Amino acid sequence: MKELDVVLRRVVVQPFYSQNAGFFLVSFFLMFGVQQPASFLVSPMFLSGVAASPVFTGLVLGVFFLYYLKCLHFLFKVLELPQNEFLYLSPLLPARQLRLSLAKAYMLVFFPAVVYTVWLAIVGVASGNSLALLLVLGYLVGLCLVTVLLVQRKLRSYRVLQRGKMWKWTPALPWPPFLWPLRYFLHQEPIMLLLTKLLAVAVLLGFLQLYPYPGYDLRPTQVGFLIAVSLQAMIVQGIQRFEEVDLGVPRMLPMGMGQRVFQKAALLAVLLLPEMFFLFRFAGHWETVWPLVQLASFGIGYLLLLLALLYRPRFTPEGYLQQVFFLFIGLLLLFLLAPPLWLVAIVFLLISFLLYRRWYYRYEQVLLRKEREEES
Amino acid sequence: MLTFQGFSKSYAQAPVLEIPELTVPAGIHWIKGRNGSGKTTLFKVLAGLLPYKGDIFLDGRVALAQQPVLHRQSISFGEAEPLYPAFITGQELVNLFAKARQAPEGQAHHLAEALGATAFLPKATGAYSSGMLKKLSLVLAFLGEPSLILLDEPLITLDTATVQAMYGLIQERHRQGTSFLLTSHQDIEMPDLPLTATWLVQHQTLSLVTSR
Repeated sequence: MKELDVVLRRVVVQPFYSQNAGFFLVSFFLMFGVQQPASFLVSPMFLSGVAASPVFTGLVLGVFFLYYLKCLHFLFKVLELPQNEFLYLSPLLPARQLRLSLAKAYMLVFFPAVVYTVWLAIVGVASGNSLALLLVLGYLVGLCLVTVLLVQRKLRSYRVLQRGKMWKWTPALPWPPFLWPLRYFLHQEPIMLLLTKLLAVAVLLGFLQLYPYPGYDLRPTQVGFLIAVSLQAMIVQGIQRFEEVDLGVPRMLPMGMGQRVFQKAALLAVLLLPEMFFLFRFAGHWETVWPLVQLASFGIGYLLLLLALLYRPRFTPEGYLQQVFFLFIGLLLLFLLAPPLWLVAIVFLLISFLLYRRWYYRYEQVLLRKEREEES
Repeated sequence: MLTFQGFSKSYAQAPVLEIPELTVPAGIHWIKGRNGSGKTTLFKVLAGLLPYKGDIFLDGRVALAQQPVLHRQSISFGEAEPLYPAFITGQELVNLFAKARQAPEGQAHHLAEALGATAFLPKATGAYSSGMLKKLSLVLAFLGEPSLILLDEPLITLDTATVQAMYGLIQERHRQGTSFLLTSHQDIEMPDLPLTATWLVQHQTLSLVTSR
């Protein structure tokens, strides 16, 4: 069913990859970046060791099961969005074709896990451990079948989220408007916010524990902080989406560009408070206070730049992902050269401000949608 | 009041509106046009929500593209089908707009009373009906002291009493020097307002139909 495939690809698969840019960036880094080549998480040496033990194979599959839950949660959430209400029609399609389309969409979302586990199975067979192949095949087929059945059932009893019912009795706390995007996450996307923050803090703590100051210099801490901040790319996209689509009104208000950028910087500073807390808690010495303040300022500037890039004319999610990726790699290399962080922080804040000022009033949500329609 | 010079708006190279030279005088104007003719696009451009090519001046002194803050101070916009985040209360939005637009003391309360919005403003907007959302958008549009208020389909989803209250507000503000651009499909209601002119958005441009 080509028509449904196209719709599901646009509604589910593309948003999944664009919204999880930061997550994939860190996963890529963990797979290829932090260890010796022999112990890369994708190296045959590592994987043959995993395949040799059913327990380790099960452990790896268990980790991917967490990823599967993330995919499933996303899939269900997307299906419930009011704009995807039209999908209630899909159960009218022939059941076999519907299942096939759903399976394809699921496989595309779960693709990184499929590639990794299939590679694990191949290495297992090559090293004489065929059990790994059986485990992986059973795992992938089982998850695919379960997902298709769950989604099919969901579509059959389709219910769009009841907008606002749950907020009827929510007490109105005095939230300053610049923090409304954070409030949006707490109300609408608490799991995503929590998981992202937990992962970011865990990565940062990992670096702080593995390479503690003063045993090591501050560079590993800086790299850990860079990864933790990069993980927030998904939240930054959510902030922009909230401001431009859900809230919509800030653009109409008479506010100067300085005020707009300052409010965003303040929001991002609040967002990074947990990371900053652990940074100062575990690497804070009297001689590191100033470098850490610079690092925290850099983090705000970096996120501000990621936000500004979302306003780029002719923005595409794919292009944005590439920009974030190359920016991250560039910064990683830069940090290894131990540059003056105050300068990096100032440059990032300045570039972010200039880009934001240049693009903000030229940004057009409608244009993007129309352009994509034309391209397709 | 509004002066267009070499104005054009297109979506992905497809032209939607082109107004080479036009002056819209102060007053209350009714903008007519079929669905998809570009009325809402024109309003969104004037409200500062969409970029455009060319120049638009307000009262001969505010160049909308070059003075974004003054632009937003001088023009406010009430959307046809407003929608706000479900967890935000109407009162919070009113407070934000009142502060940003430097609304006079007590104005928000007066508007909410006049449009019958006082009772539900403390509730989260997710609990609002479409009529309540419309009332809230009208309160927000009237806040401050803009020179021009744009009301896109102001009559839809409103009950008769609120429509009359809104006409009263328009007349009151018009007497104080505020101009209005309104779009509406319900032309039978318009005799209640002292219209300055009627305009038609057609063939990708804006042209005068009748003027007083």
